Amino acid sequence: MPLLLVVEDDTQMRKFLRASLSSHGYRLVEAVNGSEGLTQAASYNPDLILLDLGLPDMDGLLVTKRLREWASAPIIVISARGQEDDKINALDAGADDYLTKPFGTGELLARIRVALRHSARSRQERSEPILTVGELSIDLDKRTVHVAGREVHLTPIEYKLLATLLKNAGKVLTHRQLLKEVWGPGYANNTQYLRVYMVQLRHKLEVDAARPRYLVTEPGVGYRLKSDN
Amino acid sequence: MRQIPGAPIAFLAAGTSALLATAISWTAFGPRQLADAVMVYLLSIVLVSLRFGYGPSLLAAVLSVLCFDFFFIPPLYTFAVHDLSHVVTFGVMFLVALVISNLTQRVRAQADAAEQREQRTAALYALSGELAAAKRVEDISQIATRHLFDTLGLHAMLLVPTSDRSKVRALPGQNSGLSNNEPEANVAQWVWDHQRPAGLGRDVVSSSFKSYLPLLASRGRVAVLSIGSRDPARLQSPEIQEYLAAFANQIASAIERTDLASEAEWAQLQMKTEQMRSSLLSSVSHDLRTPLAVVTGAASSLLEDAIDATTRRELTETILQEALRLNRLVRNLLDMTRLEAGAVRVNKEWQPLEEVVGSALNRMEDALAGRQVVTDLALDLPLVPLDAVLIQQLFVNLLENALKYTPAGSPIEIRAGVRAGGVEIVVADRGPGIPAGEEQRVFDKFYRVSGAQGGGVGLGLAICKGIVMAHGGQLFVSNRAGGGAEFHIYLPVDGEPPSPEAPDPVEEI
Repeated sequence: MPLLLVVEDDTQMRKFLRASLSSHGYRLVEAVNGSEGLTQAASYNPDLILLDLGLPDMDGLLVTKRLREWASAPIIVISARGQEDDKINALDAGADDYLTKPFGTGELLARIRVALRHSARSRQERSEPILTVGELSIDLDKRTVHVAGREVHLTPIEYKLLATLLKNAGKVLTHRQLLKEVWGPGYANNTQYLRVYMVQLRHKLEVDAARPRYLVTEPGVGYRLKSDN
Repeated sequence: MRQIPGAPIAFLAAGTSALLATAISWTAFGPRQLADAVMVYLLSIVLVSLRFGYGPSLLAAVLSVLCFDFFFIPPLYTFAVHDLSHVVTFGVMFLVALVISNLTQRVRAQADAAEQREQRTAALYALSGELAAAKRVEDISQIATRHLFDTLGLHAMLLVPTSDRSKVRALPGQNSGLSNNEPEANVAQWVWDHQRPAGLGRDVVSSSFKSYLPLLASRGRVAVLSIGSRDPARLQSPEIQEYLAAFANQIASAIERTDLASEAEWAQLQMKTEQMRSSLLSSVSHDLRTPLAVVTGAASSLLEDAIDATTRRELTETILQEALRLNRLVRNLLDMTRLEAGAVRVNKEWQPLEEVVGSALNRMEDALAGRQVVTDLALDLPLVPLDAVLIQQLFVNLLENALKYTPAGSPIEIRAGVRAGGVEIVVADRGPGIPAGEEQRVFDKFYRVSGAQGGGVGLGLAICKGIVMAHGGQLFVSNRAGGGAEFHIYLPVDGEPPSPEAPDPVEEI
């Protein structure tokens, strides 16, 4: 069973996380502040880290950066609403996803599952050439995309964008991460390009572009390819 | 004022009248009827004096005496006089003419003065009527300026005190000419400080270009009136000064009246704010406590052993629902506070509208289950400069609003299209609509439509308004044909979006 590290200063919040996670079979290590979190991470080498951004002793962003110096375990940051910049910074610094307080168990477990699956997949390198989410599938070898059995023709950029999102299905990707991945490091700030291509992609793949099933916007943060777990 | 004919005509008329009197006396009485002739001459002088004033009447008197001598006093047709008593007659005649001229002059002056007074009283009366209707100092200033120009041809300007009442300056948008004329500004300031008239035509600093009057009302000074004239001597005339004093009084009390009115309004506003604050406090504490009470109660029930599985599940669901409600409340309170405190940074970026609409619908997915949501976004929608986080919140609030106030299962529509200089988005429902007359007030903080059910402090729409305003847009609500409410959001599209042409990345296909 995967081992999770919870770095959270609030006692009740820790209690809730402990109750809901252990009842779903996860093993748990807890830390009440950032420095303890770093120590625990080093000694237990957890499979996933849940990190609250509002810690009393140090900035959550700094904890993320320190962890990323050596640890590859996925990090899910927990933040309050309205801290969009903190979220983006944490994601860009290497966090894998975020949860906004308050959140339900369902959401928590879904994020953990996605993160664990993703890290497992990246460890195994690429075994499956075909990735599928709902009715959407992509064949990374043949470079073809199908929606509900129908082949969709994409431009090279659209394809690269979709492939990136699908490889990270369920995970939020910041504008910067997507731009770097698709256009290259030189275009990390040209959010404009990204938006235009996302619109095109949605119109090709979604039934109703205004109510997307797959290509979901996380306002102020980035995009997520919604996967149905 | 009565019109006085030009001087040459007046003197010509005076001469003619003397000749005419001679002709009449000559024909009617002939020579030697001296007393009758004198009467006719005197009459003509009186008439001249009445009509043409003092100078012409003097000329008429002199000419009359000469004509009288020439035509009626022996030896006739010469100016020579034999009888010395006739010289006395001339003298008496001349003196009488002088006295009459003087008297008629005085009567005339008095009549003129009375007429002028009457005119000015009428003008002041008209002024007070106009001032009574004035609601703002700006109106009063305009009336005063126009009135003084129309009645006296004077150039007046109102100088009002600054907010701390230490200095006077022209009303915004008017050029007093004082800003670059320090001596004049100093006189105006002196008048404000000492509450005494000064400047042109007054005892103090009479060398300045204009005259300055303090406007004093029952509660003290209210403003300074600067008066300029093309003819500086006019400002020294006692009548004009007297008139100006009366005028200044009227203006001063009019200004005081508007001051009092705005003070009363302010006091009223303060009272209302205070009332609102306390009603807010009671409403907020009620709305926060109710879900808390439910959560507390349900959770403590769950701790008891004798609870069957169904009840346990129901109680747990209640806790979840109430906690979510509490979350919405707190979120709205925080959003409102942040919007009001100006703490919200509007981070506008050019983005497609469908993205924000989509993310809002996605966030509301669970709550919207069982509702038909129709989206109809025009295909030619441009990119819109907007803050995605705020606009998403706008849609979430409007959707929550629709969910709360419309029957379960009724459809919700989101339409968007291009409108002059921007885009218009409509969020429409098939609920009961907005009660007539409340279309504006629903956007007020803590306002809830009459008879509204369910929890909520009445902040959702106020936040929407705040968000749209922060984008320089407009938000209003109307009722739909066929029932339901329709929220119209207009967002301006200013400037050009950056080129959407993305450079092709280095391809490795």
